[in-house]
Amino acid sequence: MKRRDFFTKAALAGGALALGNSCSRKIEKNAVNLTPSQKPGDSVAKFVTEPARSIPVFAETDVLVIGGGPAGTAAAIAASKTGASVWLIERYNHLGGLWTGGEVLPLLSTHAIDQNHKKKQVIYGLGDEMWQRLKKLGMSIDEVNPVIDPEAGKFVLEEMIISSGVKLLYHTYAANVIMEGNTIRGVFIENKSGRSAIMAKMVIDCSGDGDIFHFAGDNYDTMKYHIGLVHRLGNVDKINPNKPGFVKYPIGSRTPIPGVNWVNMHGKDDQDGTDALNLSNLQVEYRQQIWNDYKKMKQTPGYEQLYILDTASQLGVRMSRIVDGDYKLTLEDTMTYKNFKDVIGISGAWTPMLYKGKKVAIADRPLWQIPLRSLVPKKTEGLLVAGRCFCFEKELVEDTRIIGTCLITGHGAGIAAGTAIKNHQSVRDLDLKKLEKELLSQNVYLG
Amino acid sequence: MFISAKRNTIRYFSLSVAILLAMPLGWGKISGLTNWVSPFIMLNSVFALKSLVWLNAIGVVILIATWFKKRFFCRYLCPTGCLLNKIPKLNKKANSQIFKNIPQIGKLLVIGSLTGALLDLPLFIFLDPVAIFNGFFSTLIQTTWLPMIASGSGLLLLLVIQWIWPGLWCKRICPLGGLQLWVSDLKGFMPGSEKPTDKANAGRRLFIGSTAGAAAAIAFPFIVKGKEANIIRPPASVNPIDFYALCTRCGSCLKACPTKILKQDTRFGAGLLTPEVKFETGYCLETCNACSVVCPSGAITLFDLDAKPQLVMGKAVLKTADCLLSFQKECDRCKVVCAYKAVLINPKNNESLVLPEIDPVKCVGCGACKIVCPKNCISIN
Repeated sequence: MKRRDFFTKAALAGGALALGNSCSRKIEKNAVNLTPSQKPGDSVAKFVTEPARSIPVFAETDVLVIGGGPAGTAAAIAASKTGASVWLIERYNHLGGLWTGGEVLPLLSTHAIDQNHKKKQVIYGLGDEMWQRLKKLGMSIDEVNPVIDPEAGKFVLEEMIISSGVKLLYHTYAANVIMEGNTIRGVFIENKSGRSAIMAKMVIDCSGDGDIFHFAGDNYDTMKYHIGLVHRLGNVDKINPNKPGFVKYPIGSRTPIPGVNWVNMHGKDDQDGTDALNLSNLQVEYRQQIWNDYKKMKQTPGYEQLYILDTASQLGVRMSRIVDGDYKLTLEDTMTYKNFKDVIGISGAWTPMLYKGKKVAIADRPLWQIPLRSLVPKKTEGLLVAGRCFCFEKELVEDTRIIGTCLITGHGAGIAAGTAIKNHQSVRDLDLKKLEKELLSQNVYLG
Repeated sequence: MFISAKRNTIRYFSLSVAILLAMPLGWGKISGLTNWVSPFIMLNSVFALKSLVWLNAIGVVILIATWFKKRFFCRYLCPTGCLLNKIPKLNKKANSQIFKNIPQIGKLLVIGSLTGALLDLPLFIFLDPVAIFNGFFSTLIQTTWLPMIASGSGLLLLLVIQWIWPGLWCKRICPLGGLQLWVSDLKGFMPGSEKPTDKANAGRRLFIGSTAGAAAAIAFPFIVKGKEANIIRPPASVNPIDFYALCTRCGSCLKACPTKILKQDTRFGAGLLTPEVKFETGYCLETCNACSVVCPSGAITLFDLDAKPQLVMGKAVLKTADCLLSFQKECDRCKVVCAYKAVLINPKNNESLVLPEIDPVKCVGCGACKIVCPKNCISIN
């Protein structure tokens, strides 16, 4: 009986899946001009059809930036500085993404060595400005790969966004793309006001998970990586190691606020960062882990005053999608000072790597250029990708997914989008001299 | 001694090619290709391992050639012989007659070595002149004095012998020469041969050589036992004791290794000048089998890249006290670089602290995690 049941259900599920797929294809065919592309149901067995409806256009803009993480914030400000009108949408109530809300506080890869084997700072432009502003507030420690305070970070980034004239919309998700053939014309957004649309000349996907190029039907690589949850501990300065019965536990790393540490979590390996149910389960599991650890410490002599300040407002999804772009940045490029004509920025290094069977220590890691082509998805027109999901070889992931590089790709994408609109060109045949001029005028380090 | 112009041309050509192939020019899998020309190495390898590889065909062809032309290898191909001929004599009057009464040691060495080879221990394979010649050029890749002197000493010793007693090595001691003499002698045993052969002498030599070789091969493991240091051999190496005997010390593996992790053992003893793996800045690439391709004796057995996950050189051991993850820092380098998926980083017991674990079944000891570890907390045992 059970087996028969299973087969029946499987057949039904298969039928439904086929039906759902064929349905979505039909909708695409029938629509004339502006068609929302459909996300095929992955493992969902049952489908309902959403009735067609008219969606109000919330805004029309030159540049629309999806996601207000380090990449998105930099992209929005950069595009605005070129004279473009910019909308930035963010799903949470703050800017900075994983850097602030995710409490991944270090701005890594600020430095690397140049051809003369001299260690130098490579993160300039907006990333540097954020860093300097935080320093002025006394909310950044360390001169290489600095660690910031998350609340100060949210404040500084918001200040910079508002003063640059970017229009900001919090508490908003990108729900789907509005396509015209292969060209993106805008994005459906979803928030407390319901569903609406923002029409844009250029869209910059800074969602981290590449939601936009995924909706737009671009090809991409998926990468299942470990996902963690950062938390902060308070009163770490009041831990008393001299108490009898004291045991040494790891308590994370220091932050700009005395007595407060941030605690990184490696978390479970091989996790899908785009599966909402999985993320939800991980969230519960990780919070339990953090509290289990905390309770254990609290009962140990010496840790009586320790408390959990907060857990991060978002999970530390390290990697999910990597777009298939016009150029795939390789490990070799980053190890050999490869020069690109369409360079949009330079990033540094923070961890040792293996290259051709040999170790390249942190102190020997070269600075590396990022070409504009690696931010341009192969299929979709009018779309740029910045942040951890731009086009690179998986071997490079340690350097591409971190805050410093995200700031650089974001800044570059914003300038490229703005310059393209200003000159009525597409990003693919952008005048590289004008791009370089704009990059330099915004203080981006190009070597 | 008169050497025809044509023969000289061939000899010099052979010498030049041998030098080029012996130099550490980064030529990978053709490094030390001349070693394969030596029938002495070929026979020892085949006797010891009871198997062949395609490149052994070169040695077989040369061996057949010596049947038709006495001392064919010495006369045309031997780079060592060609070099020794150019050495001036210390005593101008000295001639080959002075060692007339010295027995054909080379012939005994061949029998001894090949008998030992049948018992897996070809004890005199390291005396092969081509291997000695190739070994000399390993000096060029050494970075420290001791291995530099050690690997260069073989050929230099031959040059000194030649200087003092010209011709002694080539005509009396060289086992490769001895082997060719045996082939010529064998011809005399053929029915209908017109060539008179000293059958009694040959039989005596055969008896002494084989008995000595067998005795040495039997005694060898007992002599070196307990002296085996904890050293890591290249992948697919034969067992440690056989390795001492089978390795020709030609240094081809050192020259072929793309990551330069092979170094010569300089401790005085049975393992002198044999290759050992030292993980300093490089590791054993999952995409490489160069050392096994170039090894002329099969001490490093030829292997297919697909088989690499089964070839264990050692095991990685993690000292978690220094691991960045035990301080809750961001790191997964060891896991990422492991081509064999032997490093796992996954939480246990619902605790947030996670440490890498090395799967002893999957780990082959390639050293990738050891060299990449920012805190140097991994060792290969």
